[in-house]
Amino acid sequence: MNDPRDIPFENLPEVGVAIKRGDFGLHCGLLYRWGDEVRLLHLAFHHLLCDQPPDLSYLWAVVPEDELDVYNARAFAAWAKVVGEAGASIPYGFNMDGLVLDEQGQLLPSPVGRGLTCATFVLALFRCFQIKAPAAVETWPTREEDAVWKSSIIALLKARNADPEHIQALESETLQARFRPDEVIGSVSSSGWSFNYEQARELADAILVELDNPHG
Amino acid sequence: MTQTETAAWWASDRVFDTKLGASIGVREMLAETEQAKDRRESLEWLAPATNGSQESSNLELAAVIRGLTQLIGKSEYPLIDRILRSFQPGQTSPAMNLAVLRTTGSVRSKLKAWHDLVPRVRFDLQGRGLDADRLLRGLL
Repeated sequence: MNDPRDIPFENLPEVGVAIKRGDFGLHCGLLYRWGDEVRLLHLAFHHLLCDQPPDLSYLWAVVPEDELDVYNARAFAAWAKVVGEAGASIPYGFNMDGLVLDEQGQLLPSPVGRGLTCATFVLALFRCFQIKAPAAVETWPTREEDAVWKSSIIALLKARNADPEHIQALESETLQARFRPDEVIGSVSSSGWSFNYEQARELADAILVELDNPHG
Repeated sequence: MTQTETAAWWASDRVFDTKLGASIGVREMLAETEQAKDRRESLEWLAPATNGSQESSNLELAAVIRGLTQLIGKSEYPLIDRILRSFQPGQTSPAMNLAVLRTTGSVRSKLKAWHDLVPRVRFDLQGRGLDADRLLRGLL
């Protein structure tokens, strides 16, 4: 991963990803070039899709060209711009099955309780544009430790007066496989897409080290 | 009209180009009603997809993606089908070809012309010396 203080975002060719440690854990998004500008498209929280210049708190990486060639990257960057402009109102949710996408990858109005996280939003962007999946999502396990994270997110949704029906649906669903930001960003930024969980976890661990010691 | 005639009409007619909007083919086919006029004007975003350029700017790519996305949102599948049927891969950039296919790929099951366009784009990309199968990953 690149520290923007060493390698500025302006070095991004077309498409990349960014990750940081935020107030509520890891957070990630998609970087794309728009003319002379580099922008960060990310799902900040419940119904809070942001399209803005990235700040220096993120580490970033290019999506490798052997996974996203220059022509597809150019088209994908334009797609990201359109998604950002449209400003879809995307709920925050844990259920990967819903993903607010239909089986063909089209963004849909989400059923109650379904939604995306910052990490699954990045995956959804690729999926909606018919790009091969960076991660073999079917290999992800359900991890008990994610129950704590789930509870903290629900508490935060309550604190921010999210729709009670949505919260109730989240509370009542069983624990889902969680695609953590470091796992998704590790996969997207590495060559050899369709990473299984174990591979993605290794890539994620390397990112965690870099986040703790960005100047390495 | 045959498919070839339709393609020729679409390519030559510049339905999206207001300067050339007097083209006879379009006038005959579409200008009969106000609704058709509205539709013609509303398709001006497609111009970059027929501009013969080897490169497409990000503004042009976004305009075409936005336009197709809006048509998908309105379930205008017959119109999208017609656009895809008449689309000339050789008249625009590889990135535009991929943008058109990938944007509409999400509703491919509703678009007969999408399935016909994929091999045409593949042929065009190969003709440019590009690794078509790699560029079209996820679509083949």
